[in-house]
Amino acid sequence: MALENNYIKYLKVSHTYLGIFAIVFFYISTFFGTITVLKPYISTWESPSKHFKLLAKEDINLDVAIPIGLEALNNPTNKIKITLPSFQEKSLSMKYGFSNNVYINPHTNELLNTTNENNLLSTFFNTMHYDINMSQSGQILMGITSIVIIFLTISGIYLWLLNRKKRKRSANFWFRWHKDLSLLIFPYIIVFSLTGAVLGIMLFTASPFAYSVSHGKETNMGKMVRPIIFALPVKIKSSNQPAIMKKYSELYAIAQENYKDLYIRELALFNWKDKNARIVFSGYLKHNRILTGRVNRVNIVLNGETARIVSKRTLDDTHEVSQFLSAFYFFHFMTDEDILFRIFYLFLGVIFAISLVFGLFVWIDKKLPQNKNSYFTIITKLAAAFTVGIIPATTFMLFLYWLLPFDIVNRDTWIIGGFYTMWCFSFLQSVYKKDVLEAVKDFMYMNAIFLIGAVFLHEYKTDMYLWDSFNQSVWDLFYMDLFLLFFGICSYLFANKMDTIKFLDKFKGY
Amino acid sequence: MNLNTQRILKKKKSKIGFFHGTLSIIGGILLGYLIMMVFSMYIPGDNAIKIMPSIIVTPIAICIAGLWLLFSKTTIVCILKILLLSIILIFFIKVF
Repeated sequence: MALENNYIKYLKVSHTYLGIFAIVFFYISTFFGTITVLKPYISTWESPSKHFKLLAKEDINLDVAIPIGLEALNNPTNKIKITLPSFQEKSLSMKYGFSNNVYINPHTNELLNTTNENNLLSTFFNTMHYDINMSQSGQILMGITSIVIIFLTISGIYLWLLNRKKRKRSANFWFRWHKDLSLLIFPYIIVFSLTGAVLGIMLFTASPFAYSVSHGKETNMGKMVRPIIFALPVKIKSSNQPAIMKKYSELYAIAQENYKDLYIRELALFNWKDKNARIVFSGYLKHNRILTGRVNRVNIVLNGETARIVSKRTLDDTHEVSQFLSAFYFFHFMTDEDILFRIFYLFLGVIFAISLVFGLFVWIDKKLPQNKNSYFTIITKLAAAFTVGIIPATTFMLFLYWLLPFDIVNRDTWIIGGFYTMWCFSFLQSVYKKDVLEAVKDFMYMNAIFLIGAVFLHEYKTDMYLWDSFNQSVWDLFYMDLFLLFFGICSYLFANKMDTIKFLDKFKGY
Repeated sequence: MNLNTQRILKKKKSKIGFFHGTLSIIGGILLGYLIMMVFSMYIPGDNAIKIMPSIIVTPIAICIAGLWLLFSKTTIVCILKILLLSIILIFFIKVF
């Protein structure tokens, strides 16, 4: 593979400078995205009303729970959406049109009081992941960054292929690990950068394609594509003849019997208590979760009065593009995947974050000797605060979440403000301390205090101690507390033993 | 065109300049979109099949076009590459 020397230089320079730009934003996105992998469990952890065991589907009494929810929604008869309990949301949730959700405890069939629970932590982490809390402009920025990451991946692989001919391993520690780690998780990087680019910017800027396909007649992509891939069910008019509906459990059993491979996640009621009543059972195929993800659900529709099958949507009935999109999004969102797959992604996320940091250090390592005792030392301090300081800032949020009373005014602002303040403080700490490693040690101590404190406060305030969640088999809660506690203890031990860890000598002098 | 501008455009450099870099980025975005617009027009199928693959592939097309522009000996070559390919692609979009 012959390439002019100048071109290789161009490639290296563009890889370096675009890399610095991308790392700043993509590190935040990767950090919070890696936390967001555990979103369902964080969501349960932060909602005291949902501290109960996940009930098996066959044990849910739909005939009691659904009428209670309907009553709370003022007995609507059309467009009612019921989401069955799952590891993502352990209560049975119901909504009508654009109303707020009502939540029912499937164990007791009582309405849950979720007034002060708004999933602040999991929502904030997710927001930071996709738009760094900057609304649509942040989302576009993340989309652009994702495209840059694709460029970095292509150019990085190109450079690697060119260098491979020399068969000489680089002596630079940071470069070697940046390269090896990035190559190791190459599919992960491509999947996330491509989905990030599509979701962040491409869907908003697809007008040129609509324009060219329609020969200049239409620029709204959604108008041209949505009716094809998200085919809406035909509207059924109400007959205005009241009818007695079959039991929900009976309808559920009939739907499951006639669509054995369907894992039912949602129910939707239309024209309820009318002769033309319809109940839609939708979900994913047990043997094909990838192609029947969130954007391509299959369903079976029954008549509410007679339980007659009105229609059945199989995988063959769905559009190829919907199937492709389902697979495309599956590897990003993992909507229906539980803990094993999520832990695997968590590890990949950590590896990617480390690879990004090492990439930054390749540049710092090269520039630092020329700029010793100049403005450049601020960059290394900033990098430490940015990459490691974000950890105690995040765990400080968990601590504040349980420390502040739930009914305090502007609670969200206090907690989110606490995160940003702590993050800024970490920069101050990095600058104040002469050696970056000393600042990192402080960060780890703070992290340990916040995590152990958050677990203790959570258990104390909810009166659900570790042994209680273990005895009651509330496994998600038990493992969340245990994981945070373990992470906190590890942080403490790491900070304590930092001076004896030889690997960390590489960071000395920054 | 004054001498200074001519020198910037035709000079062979050992280091990539800011102008060349910026031009590669803007040109890459322009060409990436134009290539996929033409692709959208000619791919057989309904609107979803014509549009959705382009939305997904465009980020990759932008990067490859950007790399192609980056590999230009002089800035003038980079500009010519953008102009020539843009004219051909716009011709395809407008005429056919």
